Amino acid sequence: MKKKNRTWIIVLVVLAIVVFGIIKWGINTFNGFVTLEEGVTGQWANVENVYQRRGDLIPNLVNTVKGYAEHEQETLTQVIEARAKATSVTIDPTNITPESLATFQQAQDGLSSALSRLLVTIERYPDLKANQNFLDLQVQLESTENRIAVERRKFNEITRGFNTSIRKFPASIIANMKDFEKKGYFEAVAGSETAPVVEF
Amino acid sequence: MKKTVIIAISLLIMLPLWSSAQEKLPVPSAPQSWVNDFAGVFSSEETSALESKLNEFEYRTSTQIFVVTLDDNGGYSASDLSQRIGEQWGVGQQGKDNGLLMLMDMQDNDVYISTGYGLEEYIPDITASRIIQNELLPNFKNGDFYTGVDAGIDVMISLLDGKFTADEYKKQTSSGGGSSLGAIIFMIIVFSMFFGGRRRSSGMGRSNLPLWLALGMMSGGRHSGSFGNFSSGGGGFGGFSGGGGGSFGGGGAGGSW
Repeated sequence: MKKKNRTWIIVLVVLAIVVFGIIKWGINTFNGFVTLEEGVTGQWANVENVYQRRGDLIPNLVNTVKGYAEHEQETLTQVIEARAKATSVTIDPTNITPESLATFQQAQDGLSSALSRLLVTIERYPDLKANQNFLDLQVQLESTENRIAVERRKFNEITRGFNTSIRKFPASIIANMKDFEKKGYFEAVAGSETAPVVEF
Repeated sequence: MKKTVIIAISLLIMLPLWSSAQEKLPVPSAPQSWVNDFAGVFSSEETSALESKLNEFEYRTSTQIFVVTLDDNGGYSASDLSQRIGEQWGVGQQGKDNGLLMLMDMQDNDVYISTGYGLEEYIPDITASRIIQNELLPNFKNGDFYTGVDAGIDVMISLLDGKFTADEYKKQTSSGGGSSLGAIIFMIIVFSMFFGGRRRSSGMGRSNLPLWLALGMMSGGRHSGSFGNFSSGGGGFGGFSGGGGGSFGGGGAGGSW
């Protein structure tokens, strides 16, 4: 009788330790996800910043070009419209789904192609190409595109880290319980100069 | 004994796997020094002159300026590659992101200056572009890479030291400089009229300072004597300790010669 009691106590203690261990692991895993998700959100802010930077350059660019290339009204209008569209698409940083990211990217890529069409047209205007103000804008535009490529690449890297960790077993159990969802990546655009490397 | 041998061998097998997981850039995974002359562009005297200047500057301000020359760009564009190298080497101090990397791609005759996040406000992209157009490319076109790099670094150090601002540099090098250039030419003409053409240069021209800078030094007392007084201290400032963990966001500008 006495011996049976003692085994029960041992079993209970072992169970308590195991349960405590599982809870502790669960909390640690959860907190790890929170940190990783914050990293993704923070990097998203950087991505939005550089796109914003590009959007801010466009009115100045359009005004400079207008003075020299009057016959390119259509191309200029396309740029202005694409910019309006790109700035209207925003993402809730706490909910970056693959679908919402694809919409965002589509709008921004529309602006990219309108801009590159404009820059090709400008080749025909030597006076404009000699304008110091335009040259400065061109430098800024180039480095802004560069910044966009860099921040997008960093975003993909950080997101890949998050997505991998929420899908790995057994941590994926916690991710499912707490509704951590896979986040979207930027896709490489065909023909873009410095296409970010996306690996799944 | 046998066990340690097995562990050692398996580690050796795994090592290349780890490194290949990282991006394969056409440079070593860590910098050699401030000047990483993989293409052999500089003589050893030129390298050590640049290095003692950059060493002194890092010792004084913790800002890191690295120079990289490459024969093989591995298929990367200069802008992309210089950002990636800066990020991988961690040029600049962690948290401050005060690193700057000048990449010379000798394969495609491209040069790119990448600024770390923390330096973007002191050397905006337009300013980086002007440094390239005014200091680097004219010399690079003549094959005089050391003079170009040295002059470019002098301007960047002065900008970062606050000796003049990016706006002042812009004024000195853009259309505004044209009118003062006209004034100088007028002065030279007047001088040569007075001295019957015997003195062909007014003294200013013989100085190896860039003209716009010399103008700046003339016009404002606070610019005076900012250059040329770096003694080459022969590495008396603690020496090279690698990148400090700085980060790059794609800022900077490039050019081709």
